[in-house]
Amino acid sequence: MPGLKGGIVLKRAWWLAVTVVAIGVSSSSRADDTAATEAQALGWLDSPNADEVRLGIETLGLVPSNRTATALVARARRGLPGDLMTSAIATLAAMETPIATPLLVELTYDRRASIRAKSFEALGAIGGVDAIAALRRGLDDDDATVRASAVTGLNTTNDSASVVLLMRAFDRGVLEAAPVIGRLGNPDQIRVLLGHIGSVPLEALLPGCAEALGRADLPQRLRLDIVARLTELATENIRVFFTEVQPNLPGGANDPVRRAINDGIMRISG
Amino acid sequence: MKAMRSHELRSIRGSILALALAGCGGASGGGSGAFSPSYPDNDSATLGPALAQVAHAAATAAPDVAVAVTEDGHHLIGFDTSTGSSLYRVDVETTVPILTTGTYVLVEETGRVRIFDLATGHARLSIDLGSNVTPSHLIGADASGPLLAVSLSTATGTTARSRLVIVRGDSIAEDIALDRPLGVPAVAGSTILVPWAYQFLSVMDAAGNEQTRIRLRNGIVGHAIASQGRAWFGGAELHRLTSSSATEVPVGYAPPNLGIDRPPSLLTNAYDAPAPLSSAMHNVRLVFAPDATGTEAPPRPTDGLLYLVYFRFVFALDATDGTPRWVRPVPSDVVGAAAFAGGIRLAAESGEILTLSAVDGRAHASASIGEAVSYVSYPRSESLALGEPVEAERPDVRVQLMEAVQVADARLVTAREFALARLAVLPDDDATADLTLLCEDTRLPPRTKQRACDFLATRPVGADHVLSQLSRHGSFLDERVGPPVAALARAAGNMRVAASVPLLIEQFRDPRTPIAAIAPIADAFVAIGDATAVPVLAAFLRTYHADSSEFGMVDALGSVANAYARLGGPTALTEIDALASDNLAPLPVARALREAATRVRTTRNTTSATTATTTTVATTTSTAALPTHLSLELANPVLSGVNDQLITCLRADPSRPNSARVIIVARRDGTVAEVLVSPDSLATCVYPLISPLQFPATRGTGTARLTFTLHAR
Repeated sequence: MPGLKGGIVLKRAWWLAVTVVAIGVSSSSRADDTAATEAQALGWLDSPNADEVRLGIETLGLVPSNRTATALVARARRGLPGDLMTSAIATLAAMETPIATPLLVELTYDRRASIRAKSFEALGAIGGVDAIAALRRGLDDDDATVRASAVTGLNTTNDSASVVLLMRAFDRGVLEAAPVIGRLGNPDQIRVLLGHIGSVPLEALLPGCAEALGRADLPQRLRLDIVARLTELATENIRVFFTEVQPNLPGGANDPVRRAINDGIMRISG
Repeated sequence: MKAMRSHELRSIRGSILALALAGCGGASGGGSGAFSPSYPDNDSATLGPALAQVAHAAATAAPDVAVAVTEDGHHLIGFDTSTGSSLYRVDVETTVPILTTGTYVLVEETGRVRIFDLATGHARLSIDLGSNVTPSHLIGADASGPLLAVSLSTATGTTARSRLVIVRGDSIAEDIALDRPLGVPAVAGSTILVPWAYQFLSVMDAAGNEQTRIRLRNGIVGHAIASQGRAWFGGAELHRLTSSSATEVPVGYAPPNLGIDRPPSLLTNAYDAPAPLSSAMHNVRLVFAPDATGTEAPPRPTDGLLYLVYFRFVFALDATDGTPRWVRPVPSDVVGAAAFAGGIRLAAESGEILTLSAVDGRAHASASIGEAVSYVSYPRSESLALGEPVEAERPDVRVQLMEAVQVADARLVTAREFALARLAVLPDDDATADLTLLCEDTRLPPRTKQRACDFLATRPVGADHVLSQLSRHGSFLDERVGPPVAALARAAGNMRVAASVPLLIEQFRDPRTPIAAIAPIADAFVAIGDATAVPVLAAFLRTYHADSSEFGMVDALGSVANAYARLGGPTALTEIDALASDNLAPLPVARALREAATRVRTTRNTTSATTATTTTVATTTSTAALPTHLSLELANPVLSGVNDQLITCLRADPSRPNSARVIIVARRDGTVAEVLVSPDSLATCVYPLISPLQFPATRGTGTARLTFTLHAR
């Protein structure tokens, strides 16, 4: 029934606009309005109408609290269609509350790959020991998009202990792991990554090289090796890459790495 | 295993009817008075003396020679298998199998049959086949000493014209014509046994005078065999020629049902023209030698073995129930085979000659002709010394069967599935492990792989292997695939393995587990009756009841609801009702949940109304109009109607088996396509009970195979 659906959409847009405005007014009335918003949103969560449930989920995102997070978790546990579950996960991720972690960990076992992927992204945003353990497991998922989400999540958590696993995943073709390895890996791990030049697409490796070149904590010798290996390739891609990473390099104008990159650009430009 | 093959019965009846229409018992015999229409059938008074003559026949010893036809059919090669040396090479021109018997080699060429000396290859005589529009063919021959009987026929059914040619030494002694088809004769001393006109076996002297005649009314007589003072006759069944042969319906030996498509018959159809050398008929056949030492009726093959030759496989099967004793591949397709007491001699297309022991299939002699051949014939040998084995001990039969299943040759799918079926019935734990490997072997043809899974699901033993496999999960990083969960779950459920429940729960939660495996897991929880699965069942229902986007999820939810309701009690039923009422639940899901709840409530009401509970197995729930597959759970209500009669069959069987294995092949519409029973002595009792049954129709493709065991207790 398009009419009804159109009505729901209008209602949803109207309500969200009102809510946003209401939350921006003075503090006393804001508290009242927040409570009303919350109550209304919690009511919608139990609606038999999917659009109202969606409205409730999205509205709760505007009034984050332990109570709303708990309610949203409880609603998700009662089962939702895929799109509403995705919306609920996004809302919980935005809330960044550890209350959501157990649910999100459970959802990393969901049969729907899209739900698993969203859950890993949310766990990356929330962080914590359980989240990291789940994210590591996500690298082993059969679905490529889910593995990519787990990489994204691990990148967010800055968990350098996961780099070993990320390198295994990279070996198995999870190329999204390259920048995380470049950003979090130790010198030996980055040398291993560098060893993949020629065996994996350069486009997959360059983000990892960019991350490594931008790290002041890495030995200068290693960073110079990266520049040297890339300069040997002498392609237009490398010249563009050098040009793009140059502004983000640590150190001053006389930094040897920067000078090596400049030399590389000139050599490739020929 | 013995299956009723109605088309065979029809074929036999058709032949008999045709014979009757052509003139009952009539034939225009030759000058010797043989095959006279007025000669009496099944006359005990004349049978006795004929049997005495057969019994006095001396044992014959054939030279250790194999005679081969070269690949192009242009040469005959005599080969001494004891020395491994070639004896002769003769130019011939043939396209059909040759025959070797006694000291003769017979070769059909265009318009004639040439007869050579077995030992030297020298030409002995030639029989003219005539120049009629319908040519005659060499149907069969047998010799004892200098006496050779040769059957020639146009092999055109009831209009056939035939000749029985009796040779003494190197010349024709008698040439008897008749207007009926002739079968393959036998010679015992100076007595000739001639099958003819489908139903008759005439016993005659060396001059062609008929001495007695047997008429078989319950089968075909196409072959006669004589050895060591005994004689046999038959076609699809083998009968011993005894004084009771005059009963018209003697009891014969029939091979067990092999459970393969178009199985070869015990003896070839002697009333057909010989198949060309290129025909696969020569590559797929049963080989046996009658047991001349046995006295029981029906007769048995020697060593109790029937050899199934299937291209480059040889299966040695128990002659009674088809159980494999050993299996082995040979270097190339088998083009010659002859059984003897103690073993079998084989010739491969590549020219290899092997003598294998009946006991274990080990080679006791091995030689090579040195070139590719299209056909090899061995003279029948009544005794053959095996000597010492020339190869190492062979692995046990389970390993042999496993290797046979895994041979990659598209022509051998039937033989591989035959090996698979035999592997599946081995009472060996390790066979369960093998079936697991085969169930996930992607190199197998899909049908073979599915059959392996079905067999795995119905295994009664090997629980440890099932547990071991269920503990395995797939891993992307370790490049490891998951186990065949659906079949393992069915196996665990059938075996009621309580220890499998935690492992099944882990598989149930693993998103890698195929959706098709969810229902078998849920059914296994019910079959085992372990309520520890209740929380995961409930969580599954809650999580997915509002989303049926995954293909197969509706059926899975139905099965899970069924299991939850059965194991979770009234609370579970209430929750299922609530989930079914959830407006967010897609209609098919809501319907599936309601149906599951209704079914469980109905079952409970029925159970409380009647004190007798006959089954504890799960009832598979399906939400679509038809179930996806026919499970035992669905079949049980149908089978329960004949259960008592089936048990009666089992208890009434003279062999007093403790149990019997029944395999039902059902079509999509629920009708029965085939029934296999082991021991096969039960087939005649079990088949009429099961074949009329109507099982639930399914959405599956092809046929469904149900296996269950009857217990006498």
